[in-house]
Amino acid sequence: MKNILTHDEILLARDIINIAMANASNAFTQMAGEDFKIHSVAIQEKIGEKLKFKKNINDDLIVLASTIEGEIHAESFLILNHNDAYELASLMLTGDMENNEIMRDAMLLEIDNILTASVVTQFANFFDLMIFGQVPKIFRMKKTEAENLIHDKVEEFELHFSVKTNFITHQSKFYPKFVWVFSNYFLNQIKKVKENEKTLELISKNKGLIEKYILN
Amino acid sequence: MSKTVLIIDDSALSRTIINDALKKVGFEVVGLAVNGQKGIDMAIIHEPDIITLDNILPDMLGSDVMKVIKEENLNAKVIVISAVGQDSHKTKMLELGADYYLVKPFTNKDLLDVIYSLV
Repeated sequence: MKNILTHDEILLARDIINIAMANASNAFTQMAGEDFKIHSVAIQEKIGEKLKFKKNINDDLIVLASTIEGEIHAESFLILNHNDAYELASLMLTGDMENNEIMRDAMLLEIDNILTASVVTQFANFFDLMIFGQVPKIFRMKKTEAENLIHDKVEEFELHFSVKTNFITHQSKFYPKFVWVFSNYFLNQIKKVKENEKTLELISKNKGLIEKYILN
Repeated sequence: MSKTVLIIDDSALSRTIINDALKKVGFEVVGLAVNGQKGIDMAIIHEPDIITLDNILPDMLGSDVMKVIKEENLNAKVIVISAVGQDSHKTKMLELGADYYLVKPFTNKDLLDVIYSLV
């Protein structure tokens, strides 16, 4: 493992990522009408280490993948099992739509679109860059296939910086995972904004989001 | 006569939610377009009073659709409805002539408040 960021830069990256993830949690709460929190934001700065899901993760997964384009390249993965998808459908869809598989997929794609965009919005504002998420894609795959899909992106970006977290809600029992893989450019941006007063002020203004939505 | 609306959004869920919300209060939805080109074609054919426009579409950006709407001198009020919430995107779309930029997620009330303020 090789450290690319200094200790202070890692703290700054953690703040920016936590605010962005808290913003996603806020969006999830608004969409689902349930209080969603973010649990265990794990930031990894590694080269070539394969992400592995825990053994207790269900083998049949639904993976929503979004490519982030513009001035930062990244890939986001929202990972659920089939039970998560049913639970979400019962929260967000009404009447006939709840049992309609096409609408369920449309709902998942829309959730991914909104969550990814809520994270991207924060990065764009913090770094003052033009970035956006492309139309998300949906895959049904086994756990090892999902690990490979993410690893392929890690290899494509060569040097990577990844974030792995869970959404949790106390009202319902489901725990979608949210994984982000960034290209090296993200690290350069962290270095660039570390003494930028506008960015630091924006971070300080948004720290309330962390307290509200991130569980330590 | 009820006001006419064209919905341009690649998300089936968004199209359904917007369509249902507007029909319920008496708007006439004249088209549901799944991409930018279909949206442009329907806008030229139907000349709707209101267009709801997603910002990221499979074949083009909302800004590309916006440019054509202006070039064709269509008089529709355009509400950009997008998950993309950053300031630079909002400013760009408003500069191109959009009448409002609504960030997802939104409630039906948010949408109707915007529409009623424009028509």
